[in-house]
Amino acid sequence: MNPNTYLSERERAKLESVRVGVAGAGGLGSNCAMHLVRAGVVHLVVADFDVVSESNLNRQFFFRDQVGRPKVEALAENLRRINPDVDIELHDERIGKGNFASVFGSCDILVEAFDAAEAKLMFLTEAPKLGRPMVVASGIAGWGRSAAIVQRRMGGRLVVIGDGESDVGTGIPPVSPRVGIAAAMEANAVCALALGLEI
Amino acid sequence: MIMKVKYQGNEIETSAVTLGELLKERSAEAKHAVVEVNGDVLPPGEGLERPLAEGDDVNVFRIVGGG
Repeated sequence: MNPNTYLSERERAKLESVRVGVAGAGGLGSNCAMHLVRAGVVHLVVADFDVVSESNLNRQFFFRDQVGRPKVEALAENLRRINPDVDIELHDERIGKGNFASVFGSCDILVEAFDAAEAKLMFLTEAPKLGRPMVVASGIAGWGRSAAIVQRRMGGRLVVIGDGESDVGTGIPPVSPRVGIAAAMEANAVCALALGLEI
Repeated sequence: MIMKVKYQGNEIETSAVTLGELLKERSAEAKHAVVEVNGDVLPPGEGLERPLAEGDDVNVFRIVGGG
């Protein structure tokens, strides 16, 4: 049963028909996927090569007893606690130029949820080749300045979310509130795209 | 030659001949940014040799780490 009991028949049909690819299951991806499942999305493709670590618990949708487990596996478990019927294709592997299309080729909407800037740039090179709507995040580290996180539509298919500045590379930590805002905005944009609404 | 283009929503004057020169002039790191020209999105670091034309509408969003 869809966990979002507020949906109209039309909304439910749309959200349940869309397949969303989430590239990365860290602070952005795990929280974005959580929002998507609560909102009513039931088909997901999630990829991440990493395992849950202690330092992830400051922002990622994992629990202390999941430390050491592959992120995609732990995330699937947590998402199924929200909706046991959710269909999640898991890829416990690093995503790059060579496997991007084979992993995400079946998706209707793509979410960039990587951590490293280089991985985000790879996404921006590979994802447009699939011709699907894309949501990307950049500039989400630190504290405060919630309203500096904006969304911008670029071209016909790309939505960029973030402040475009706050780089973890400069020693500013990624922390739950601000990363969570961006993850929720990514999920919100995906839902609006799926429902054919203004993002 | 000076021409007028739109950069990040503002009209500016530039002597840049190519998109890459404009981004350099504006201190935008092209390899770490999404660049949109007249509604077309260019993959990071690509299309920099594209000649600028009067009235071009250029938008840049910097890509930084964190997730």
